[in-house]
Amino acid sequence: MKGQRSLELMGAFGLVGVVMIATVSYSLGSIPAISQEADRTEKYVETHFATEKLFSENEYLELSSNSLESGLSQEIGQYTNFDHSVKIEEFKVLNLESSFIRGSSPGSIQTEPNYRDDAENEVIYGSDVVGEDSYQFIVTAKDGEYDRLYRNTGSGTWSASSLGDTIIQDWTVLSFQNRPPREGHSVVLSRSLVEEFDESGDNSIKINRFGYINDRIIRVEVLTW
Amino acid sequence: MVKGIGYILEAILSMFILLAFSVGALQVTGGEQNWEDFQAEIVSEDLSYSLSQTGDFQEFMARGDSGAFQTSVESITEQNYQVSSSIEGLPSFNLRVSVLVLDNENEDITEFDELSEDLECAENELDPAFDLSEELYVNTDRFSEELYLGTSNEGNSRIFLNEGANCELSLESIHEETDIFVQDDSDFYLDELSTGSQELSIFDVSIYEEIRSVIESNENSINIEPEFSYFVTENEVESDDFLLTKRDSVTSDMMVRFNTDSPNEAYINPDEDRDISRFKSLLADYSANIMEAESSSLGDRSIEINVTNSDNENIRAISASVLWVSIEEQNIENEQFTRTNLNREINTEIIGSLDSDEILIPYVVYTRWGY
Repeated sequence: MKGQRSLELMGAFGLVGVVMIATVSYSLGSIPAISQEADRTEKYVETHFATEKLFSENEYLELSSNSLESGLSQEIGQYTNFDHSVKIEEFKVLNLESSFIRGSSPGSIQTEPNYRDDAENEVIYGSDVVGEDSYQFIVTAKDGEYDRLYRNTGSGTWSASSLGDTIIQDWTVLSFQNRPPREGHSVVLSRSLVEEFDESGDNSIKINRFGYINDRIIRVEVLTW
Repeated sequence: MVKGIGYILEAILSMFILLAFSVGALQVTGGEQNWEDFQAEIVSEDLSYSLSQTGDFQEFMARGDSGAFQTSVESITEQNYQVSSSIEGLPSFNLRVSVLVLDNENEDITEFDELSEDLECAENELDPAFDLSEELYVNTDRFSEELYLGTSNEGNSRIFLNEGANCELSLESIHEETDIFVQDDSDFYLDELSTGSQELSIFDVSIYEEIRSVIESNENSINIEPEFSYFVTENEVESDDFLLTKRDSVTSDMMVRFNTDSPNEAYINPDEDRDISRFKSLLADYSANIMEAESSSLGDRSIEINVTNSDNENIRAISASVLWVSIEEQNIENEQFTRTNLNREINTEIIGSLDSDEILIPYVVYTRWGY
């Protein structure tokens, strides 16, 4: 009987031992994941804090052109110890208020562009500032979809652009407003200020922040690793 | 044998404790999803604010163009985010302005001469406007033009201003009670008019007509059609009471009392003492008047209140307006997201104001972001 109890004791010990070993190995196995998650959290929090500090140096979310010139990456570097890289893109929404029927332009438009033959009759027009100068713009539709932008280049000549075309000073046509109720009345332009992430490491995280300079939206993508 | 079972039970208990510990303490939560939410909240807050600051959102608002808002957000966020908003129901579209004019500030014109034989204006010219079988009276003192008082063919009292002394009858020169007429570069509200007693009661409302013209101006393509009305009172209301009414209201007109000693307090229907404090204030100068724009929330609605207080001692009158923000969150449901499989929706509010001439029109727009 004593021998049987010893066997039962040894069996119980064995079972607990197996479970302990399993638990310890599971715990050890989880540590990298926890560590990695903690690392990610730290990167997110620190990157967010760094961008928050950057934006709040002026008004909230307002960037100065000085910041862009001196390099946002360096400025963000003041507030984080992680390696990081930034990509910056600038957006301009052309807001065009009015419309007219082809061939009956208002007095503010001296000559109309040479439209495509299949362009619809109603065209949207207005003026907006891109870069340093103000231009007249006309947007036309084909088959119910606005897809062409005309810019008055002065002296009565117009240049036509479609999606993806560069119109002036690196500004590229990003999208046409084709949703109801006021289709064609806005066009989004974009241009890269800092084109690509110059480098990146493993386990990197990315935070996108949006701010503004004057009347332009700035997207700052910060990659941290 | 019994001891052996005890060992086994202890071992099983130990195993459960160890398992519970390892599962509970070492659980790694799904952080990936949380950080995506975190990023989405940043994007919605950042873009709501930035688009307002660049003036783009105001442009969308002025055009009533929710599609431009959605298109811009999708473009700028690389198609990752969708936004839905309700920007119809601009507060300015629900504007009703009621001006209280105190009765003791009126001007009565009673000095009329009878006119029967030597009509300044030929009978046939006055015929469409007046019943010439009744007496016709004229006053030549108050205005630079002759003012005729008589009875219309329908039996109502009316006046006719002999513009240019040419007896040029036009609809603009014939007036009845509650009309506004312009004379000598001033706007007058025609309150009481009686041919029988030869009495005319008028109020100079030039200041408010000027405000009306500014509010009605079509700047930024904002088509504002306010209802503007004058109420003449007999000192039954206090100087800091304003009669405010709301268009399309299912409730009756209401009175708002401002505590002038403590500008941050106001009461809806003073008898009920419903406090609508927690005002934010915006100040905008308009001409010689002081215009305060206050906002507050009242139940599930937001209201914007503009108060214009005239310092002109000749007329003790107050202009007040209510800008109702009739946008409720449920209206957002009417706007369709173009993408149906959304992981999460985030609600934001965009608070701003549209500049229309020198008048600020505040707004609150509720937006819903999805990704």
